[in-house]
Amino acid sequence: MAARPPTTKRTTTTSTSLPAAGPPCTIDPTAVIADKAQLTGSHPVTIAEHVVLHPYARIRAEGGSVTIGPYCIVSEGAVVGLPEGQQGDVVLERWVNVESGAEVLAKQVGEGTEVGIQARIWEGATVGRFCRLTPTEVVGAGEEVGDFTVVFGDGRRRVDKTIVESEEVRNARVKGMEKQVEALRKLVPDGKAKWIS
Amino acid sequence: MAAPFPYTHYACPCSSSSGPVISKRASQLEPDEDQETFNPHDPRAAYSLYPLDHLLFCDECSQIRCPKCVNDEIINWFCPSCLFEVPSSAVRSENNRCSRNCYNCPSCSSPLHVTQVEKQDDGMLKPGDGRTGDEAYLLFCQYCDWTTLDIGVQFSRPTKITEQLNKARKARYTVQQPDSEDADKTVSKQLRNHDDAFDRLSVFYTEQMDETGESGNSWGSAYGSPANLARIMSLYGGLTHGALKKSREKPQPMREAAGEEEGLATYSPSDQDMDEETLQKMQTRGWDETASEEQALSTPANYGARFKDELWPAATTLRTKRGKRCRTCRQFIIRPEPKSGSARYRIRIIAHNNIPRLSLRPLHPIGPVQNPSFVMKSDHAYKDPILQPLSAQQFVLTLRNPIFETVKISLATPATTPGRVASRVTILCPSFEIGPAGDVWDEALSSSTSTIRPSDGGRSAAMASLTGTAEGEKQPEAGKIWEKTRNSTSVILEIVPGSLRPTSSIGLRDDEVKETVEEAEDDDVLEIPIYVRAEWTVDVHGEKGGEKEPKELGYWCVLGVGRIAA
Amino acid sequence: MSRPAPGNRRSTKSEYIETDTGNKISRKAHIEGKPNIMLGGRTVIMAGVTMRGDLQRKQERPADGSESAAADKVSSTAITIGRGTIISTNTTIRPPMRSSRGSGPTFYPLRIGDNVFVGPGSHISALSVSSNVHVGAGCVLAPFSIVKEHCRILPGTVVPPAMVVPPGSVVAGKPGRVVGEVGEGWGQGGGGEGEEWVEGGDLRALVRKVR
Repeated sequence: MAARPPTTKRTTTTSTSLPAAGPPCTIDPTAVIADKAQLTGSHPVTIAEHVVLHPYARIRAEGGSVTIGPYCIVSEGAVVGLPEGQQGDVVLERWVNVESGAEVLAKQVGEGTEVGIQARIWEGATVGRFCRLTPTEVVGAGEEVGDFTVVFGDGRRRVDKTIVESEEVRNARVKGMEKQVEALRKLVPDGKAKWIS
Repeated sequence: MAAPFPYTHYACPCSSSSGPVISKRASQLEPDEDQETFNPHDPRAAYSLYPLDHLLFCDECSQIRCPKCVNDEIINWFCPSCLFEVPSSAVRSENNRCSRNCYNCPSCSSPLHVTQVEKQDDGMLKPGDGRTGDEAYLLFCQYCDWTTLDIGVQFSRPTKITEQLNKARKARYTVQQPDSEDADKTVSKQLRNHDDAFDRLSVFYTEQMDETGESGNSWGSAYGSPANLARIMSLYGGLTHGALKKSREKPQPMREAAGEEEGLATYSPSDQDMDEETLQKMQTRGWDETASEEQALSTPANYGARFKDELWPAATTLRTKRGKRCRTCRQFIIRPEPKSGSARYRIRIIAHNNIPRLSLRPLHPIGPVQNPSFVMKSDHAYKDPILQPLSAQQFVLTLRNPIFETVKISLATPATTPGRVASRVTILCPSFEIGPAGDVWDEALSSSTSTIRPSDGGRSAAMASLTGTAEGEKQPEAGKIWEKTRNSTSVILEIVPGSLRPTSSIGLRDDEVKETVEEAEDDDVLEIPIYVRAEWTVDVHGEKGGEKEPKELGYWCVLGVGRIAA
Repeated sequence: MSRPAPGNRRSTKSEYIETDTGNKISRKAHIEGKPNIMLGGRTVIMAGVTMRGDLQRKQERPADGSESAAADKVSSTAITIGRGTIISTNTTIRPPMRSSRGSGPTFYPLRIGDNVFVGPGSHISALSVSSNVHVGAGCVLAPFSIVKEHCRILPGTVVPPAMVVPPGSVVAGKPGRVVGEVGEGWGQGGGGEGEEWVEGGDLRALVRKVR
């Protein structure tokens, strides 16, 4: 694996499989868009400052626009946006962490929310501030999840009182996100040039 | 059975008195004559059938041993979270729980972690790294975000959590002096605390025992010991002669705990206020805030908890490593290494290495054979095989020999399967030999070239097996072995699945059929009971060419073939 | 990084690239940070698998990270996988990350042992998965979980963060709990010629079949 020469073949196939022209994008210069991240569709995509899109993350502006707030992280295999055939915009506020393999079709995801590994938020749903979806949890279409809710254990929900009451904890979480972005900046090479025409 | 098809389950002979017994003489073993056929649809069958990996073998008794016919012997106790081995002397005093820093979340049961609360600027919530200072620490569930702040508890240092937690708990439920007005209420509130009630009761009974002169030599410390149990039994009208005599000598019965001071919590009308309060709370907070039974039973500290914010972290319960002894000859057949992190065994005699193993596969598989444990592509979901009723199908039954001797096998199966749906089963070649198992080295050397075809097959058969087009050239024949390798032999099994509907019902309407036939669950599962008898000889003193001792082993197996189509 | 060798025996048609040590890597796998990934030999990486070898541990100085970032490029292996291990389709393997005092958040190396089977669509961020572990389809091993030898993770389980699963356990549920123990004979047999492979057993025969 290690000493193997990089297989150039795959890279080429990936880039050729992308649509020649991506969606109309507004990307902040401080954002990091990995080379293998994908932006698809024809609706506008807005990516704010300090956003990190991991390789194989996908912003799917096929059914409507996608707005990604500052300090959001979208991991590998994660999809944000509606597919073709469905209509609606998707907005991620600040400090939203979309984990590996998660799928976000929600209308809106509040600040500081973490969408866990392989979690799904279906179309039309709204998720409040500082929520947490643990891995593989699902928020159904059109559902509303209030602020500070933890969705865990196969659909159980509870309001995280600690975070409601303590601003410190909230700040700690925000700081954590910002630090993560800083750390990732050093590891994930930026390739946003190709999306800016 | 949730096992995927086709499966083989082995019956442990221990569960049926009429089950096959091992004997030295072949003549005594006539499974079809003097023993009942094993019925896999019998409700009791579920209790004697095991997959092979759960079965052990006692080489002294030459018999299969299942979890029911071995005695467990605890080798050690350990905490599954920190893998710390707890000495047996400390296990009881620590309530079978880890007394270090291992706690489980009362909300979701995940492990909790000691985390530092950051007062100042840097960083997210993170596991404590052992430094001290005037930081605060808490237990934090990384899965559901529960923290000890939810119950208002913080720690001053990241170690000795148990101690700090107990202190916090004590402080929460303080006993006020009895002279204060509210004494009754505080005491009864305290009695909701399980440990406290227990302590008071035990103090009371110790005193009682002292007073009655029955002074338990070790009553205070050793509750559960058989001697004490016997004494308690005799106190409460024991049946032994000695006990009766004793109770006559001391006609005065011991007084029972009578008040809250003595640890007895009784219902009193004044509790009603509290009940009202609880009811009110339940109404206003709703179901989501109410503790579930499972949560309340997670640890004694939570026994009286009604609401989620009353739940305390549960110390991780210990697990055990257990040795297993044969119930008949008392020898160890399983003895794990005592180290808690190790998965090794010092002694491990399992059925897998001692009895011929059966496996079944269709002769003409439709599509690739799937092993549901090894589905590698998300879109290749496993489906139960469906059998068409009343049409003959052929299966290859392979027996593998783990023993280092050539084994003579006789198979027996009822002509029709027991149960409501009778399927016809024919084993084309019911008796044959299987070659000895070599050691691992031999196997490795020969693994690439070893398929030995029966002589009649010859070259064409070998070719066929290589190209996978055996169907056209090789026909299953009665009395002939299908395939043979060094230590396995395959024979053909012909199965005609029965119909789920009785034949007489043809022409009746569906609802009428339903009336006449009560269909039980899993009636459509085709399971074939097979009796396997293995005979071989061993050198008596381990010398070759010396005296040979015949050995024999018989057991029932059940082959799960699939579901019969309706 | 010595065991996996260069020189791929490439054939244009096969889906898998086979290395000299017998690793089979699907051409449809998404592998990042190849120099930081070690495969033990006879290991299969199937189509759609994402491996984040690029998320490696960086030795960093606190505070003025921005200046020295370019200077200290001390990298280490991010993902180690043993022999005869199978990573099924659409699984993601991503080293876990947490922040430690002083330096910012760091990724920790992820280890997977020998003869481990990982079912399709799973996510592995564990600190270590020991040998002869069977992970069912659609499981999530959350960051810093540790799974010891001979464990069986039933399909759809979410092993919570930093959970330690003792050897020989059966784990199920969301969040995952130890629901039982595997039998003493678990993982025995299999791998032999013509024999069915078994959970927790030697997977070489199955690896050979993958092509």
